Amino acid sequence: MSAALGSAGIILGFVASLGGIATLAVGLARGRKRLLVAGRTYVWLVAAGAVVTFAAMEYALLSHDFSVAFVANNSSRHTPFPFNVATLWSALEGSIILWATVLSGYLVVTALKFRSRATDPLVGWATLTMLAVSLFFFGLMLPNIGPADPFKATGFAIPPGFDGPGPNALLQNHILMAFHPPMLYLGYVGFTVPFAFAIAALVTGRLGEGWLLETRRWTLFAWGFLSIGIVLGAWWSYEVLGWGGAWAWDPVENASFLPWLTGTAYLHSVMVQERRGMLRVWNLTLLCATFALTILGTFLTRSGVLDSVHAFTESGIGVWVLSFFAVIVLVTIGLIGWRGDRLRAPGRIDSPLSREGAFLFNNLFFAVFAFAVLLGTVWPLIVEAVNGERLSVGRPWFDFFGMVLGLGLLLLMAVAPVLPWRKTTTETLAKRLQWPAWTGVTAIVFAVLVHARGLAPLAAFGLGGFAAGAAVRQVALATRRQGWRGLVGRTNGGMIVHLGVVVLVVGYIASTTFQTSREVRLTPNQTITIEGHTLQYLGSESDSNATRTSVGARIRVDGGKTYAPQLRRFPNNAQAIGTPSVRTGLVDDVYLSLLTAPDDSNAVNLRIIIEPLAVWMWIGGAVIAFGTLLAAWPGRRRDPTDPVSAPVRTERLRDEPERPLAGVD
Amino acid sequence: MRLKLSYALMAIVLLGALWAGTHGSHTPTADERALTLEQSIKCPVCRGQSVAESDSEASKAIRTEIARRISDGESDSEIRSYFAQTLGSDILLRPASSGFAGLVWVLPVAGLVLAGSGIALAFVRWRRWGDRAPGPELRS
Amino acid sequence: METLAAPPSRRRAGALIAALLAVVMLLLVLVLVTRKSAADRADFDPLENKPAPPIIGATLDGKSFDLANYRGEWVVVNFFATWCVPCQQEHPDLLSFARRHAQSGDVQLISVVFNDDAANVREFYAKNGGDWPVVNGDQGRMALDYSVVRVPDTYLVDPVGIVRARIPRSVANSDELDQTISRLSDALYGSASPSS
Repeated sequence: MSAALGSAGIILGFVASLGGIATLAVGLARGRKRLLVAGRTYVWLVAAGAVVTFAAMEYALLSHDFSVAFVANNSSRHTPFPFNVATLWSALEGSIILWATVLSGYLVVTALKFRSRATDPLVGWATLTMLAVSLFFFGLMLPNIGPADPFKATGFAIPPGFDGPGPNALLQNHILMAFHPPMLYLGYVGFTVPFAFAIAALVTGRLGEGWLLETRRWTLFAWGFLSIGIVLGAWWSYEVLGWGGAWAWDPVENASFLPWLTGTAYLHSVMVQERRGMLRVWNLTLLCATFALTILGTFLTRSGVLDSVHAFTESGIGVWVLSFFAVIVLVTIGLIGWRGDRLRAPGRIDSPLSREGAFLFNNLFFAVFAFAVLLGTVWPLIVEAVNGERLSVGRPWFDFFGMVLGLGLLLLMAVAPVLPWRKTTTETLAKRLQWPAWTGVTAIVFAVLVHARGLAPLAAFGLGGFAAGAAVRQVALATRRQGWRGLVGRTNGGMIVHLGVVVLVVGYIASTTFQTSREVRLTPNQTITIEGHTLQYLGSESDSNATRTSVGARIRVDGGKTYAPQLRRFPNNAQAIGTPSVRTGLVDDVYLSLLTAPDDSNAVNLRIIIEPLAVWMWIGGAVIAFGTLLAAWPGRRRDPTDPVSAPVRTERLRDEPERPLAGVD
Repeated sequence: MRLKLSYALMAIVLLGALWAGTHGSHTPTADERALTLEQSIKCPVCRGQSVAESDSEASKAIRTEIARRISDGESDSEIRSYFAQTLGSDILLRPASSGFAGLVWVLPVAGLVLAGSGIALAFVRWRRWGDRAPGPELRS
Repeated sequence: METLAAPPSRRRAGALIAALLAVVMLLLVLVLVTRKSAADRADFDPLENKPAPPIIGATLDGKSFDLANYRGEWVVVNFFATWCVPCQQEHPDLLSFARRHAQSGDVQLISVVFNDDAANVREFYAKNGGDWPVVNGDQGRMALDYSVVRVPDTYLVDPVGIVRARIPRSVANSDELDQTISRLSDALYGSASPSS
């Protein structure tokens, strides 16, 4: 029953997308405004289809309807309720349902927000583009035709008492599992909206009316969700996988990081477009690249060509997703090549020593960073295709380039906030940077005093302090001038985000470079000391319920609370999953991992990792999220050429238009 | 003047701190060598973890072998080539720097240089515009 | 909106860059679409037709063992551990194989322990039978020489000590082993096949 309903929902979504595209296409070609308005109705139908599909699958999961193959392969009667709900997005076909649902949500919100301008061809083209994307995703799920049909029948009669294997054990271990994918998808899929408007702007040739700026807030929200999703993923990785790390440059992680890099570049360079009307074509390129990278990432994580600790199982959708990616790339390059010329803005950037100059360099670094991450991820495949050689590109390579580019970006974060628009002198720069620079040097001195060693980490701490100082200085000046309003708005919120990034980076470097790891064998009541922490093994424990059997070791940390790393076994799954236990502290984390079950003498093998400043990665993530909210705060309608830093004499060209000239399109 | 003094002092403190934080790079102990090697060798039965991070039997065997070879006096590159020979060149997480595969080290640098030059050229061009009489961009 | 038609050279440069980018992306797509799945990738087999790495050590009975002593006959080198379920499942097939060749002395089966306690292994063999040499694996070192990272893994070494075949999974049945050996023998020596 759920299968029939779900399949109906998919067909509805597919047909409605098709209908919407057809209606809008005719309306745009013939200039029929009524068709453009009618086209929007299809958006509601698509949303209805998505909701029905989503609800049908959740119902099938929660009612253990094993006649649906997806439920039979991924769910179990013993899975607790919240994990059962989350099972929908734990495997391939369900993740496409989530994607289509989030996309239709964005479609509805777009239609509502732009309803007063529905007859504008630009809105029409944007809606058409989004419907085309939704057509693709519903098409993947078409019953019996699509390569990812979630409601495919199990194919054999279900015997009574049958039970599925449940989701992968790693996905049942922590409640964050429930939040990380939806957050990530809100980000990923959110980039479809600015992409659609970019395509619309390219097709209609109308770039100068601020359309991109209207969708800037969308991009900010999508970016914010993506950032939160990535940090949540890292946190989950840390808490669940047992190796004490949060980021491994795994292909799936890189797939989510790539659009983040180009999206961040866009958020900065769009400010140059707002202020000076420049970099319009580059911004369009960035938006299209960000969206294309989300599709490429979908391919990398679902096609099975790259091995990853959390890739979905391989499936047949690889070819389709890759074709879609190729189409997007060709269409985008074609449009930009065709139109880009006409849309190039007049004007120049006066000096590299200016905020525009800094944003230009910022984009340089982010673009090269994205190129490097993509290159490293697919390089083994390229080399294999060229000369059959097998090789891996792993953490050592990514850490090297990440460090180099990261240091450059930290330096830019430090200098850019004090740079005024247009140009400045080195004297002004030196004056403004004085206190931030001292903050940076103090950070290095402090790090050396607490025994941190190594040029790269110290440089990172110093530049981080420098950047933090510049951000605080900016916010302090703004609050002094404007009171609480000095905390909100794009620039000030952005400074808070910078602070969050610095905190996160410092936490990451400290917890990876300066961690101490030891494997020990402990007998009951034995105590050991590592890096100033005392750990006493109290004894083993075991527990068994309907969902799992677990065996654990009780460890008292520093004479206080007891922590119990465990080995858990889920029914229908042969492997025992290590569940680490972490004592979180502001200064460091004590990370405990049980390696072997207690033997005959109740002794256990334990891995203990002391990770300095690990918690600050998550605190930094929260600050980033908070800063994004502040940045999205609607400010007073500002004159776009108002200087936002401390007043500096800039000559304002009287004949420089604040708005694009009317009547030209 | 005060500003210059401040920066001069800052430079001294900075150099001093950096020297204190980086001088005396000691020769790594056997444990440290082992850890670095383990972090650069992929676990052959896991998905994407290094031997240092994985608890599989294969990883344990490799870690034991690394420790044994270090105490036998083998160099880091000898140990790495042993594993590349027996388990395949893709067991090393740090790609070779020679041959076609080694291009992966060069391409991002080349990209940075190329794009950076492009931006520098743009600035030169823009400066030249400014030196001419007001060009079309200032027409309203 | 003031637009500036770019001079022809700029336009050409822009079109060139766009074309170049399109070609690169299409090449990338071509590479990606032709890749096999990671799971299907061929196993790395560095030992095929190479001399078998030495297996020197002590058996569970305490006797000394050297693979080189077995020149003149085929040797089936089987890596296993008691915690490995497929290894337990292939044990009966190995038993019948060993029994079949115990008389003729043309094929010798040996097992090498992979990361397991000697006590566990002795107990396993006591319970399930099997009297062929079981060599202590020296904490996985010999397994690494043989490129073994998971068990079960079985190698076929010919009478002059060259590795001729690998079965990187459990032996399906003893007949399979026999067939593989006779096939290899025929290829090497003509039809003077040692198997029954």
